[in-house]
Amino acid sequence: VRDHYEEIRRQGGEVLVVSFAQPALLALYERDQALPFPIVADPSLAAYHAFGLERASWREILRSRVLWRYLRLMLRGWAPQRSNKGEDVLQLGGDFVLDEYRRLVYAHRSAEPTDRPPIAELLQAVCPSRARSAAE
Amino acid sequence: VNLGDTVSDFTFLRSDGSSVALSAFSAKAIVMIFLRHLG
Repeated sequence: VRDHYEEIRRQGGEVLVVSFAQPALLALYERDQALPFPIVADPSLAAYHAFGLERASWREILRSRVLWRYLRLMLRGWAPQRSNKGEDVLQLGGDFVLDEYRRLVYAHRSAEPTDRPPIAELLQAVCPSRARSAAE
Repeated sequence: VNLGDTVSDFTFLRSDGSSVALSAFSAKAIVMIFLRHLG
């Protein structure tokens, strides 16, 4: 998303990153990652639960397909890190798009830790006319 | 929350501990990315 942030902004969109980490931890992450978009904390998981984001099971995480995806990420330079103390490593994330009236127009709930939607899907949800013009 | 539903105006915390409502982020579209753990 970082690579497409300017395009999202040009379409009138904004990106909001939500973490369940405590604010103090969020401050360190913000400083290390130098994110161009805002990041906020939901330590009570109230929004995570409302959006239907669940916890994975260890069995799910250790499935060969997931391990294979992690291996591919590592080959591309990603390095696994130890979780910060107290963070739930099983909590899954997700990607959502709200319209200007805060209506949910796109939802992708990760089925396992490496499951993320294609960026094209997110961009299409941000700007539906983009999809129409591509089809024409 | 299901597709088409209006999302509640959740309150989040900023990294300095202050509160911020979802409605504070007004835009034509908001991409919300819920992360897994930060570590």
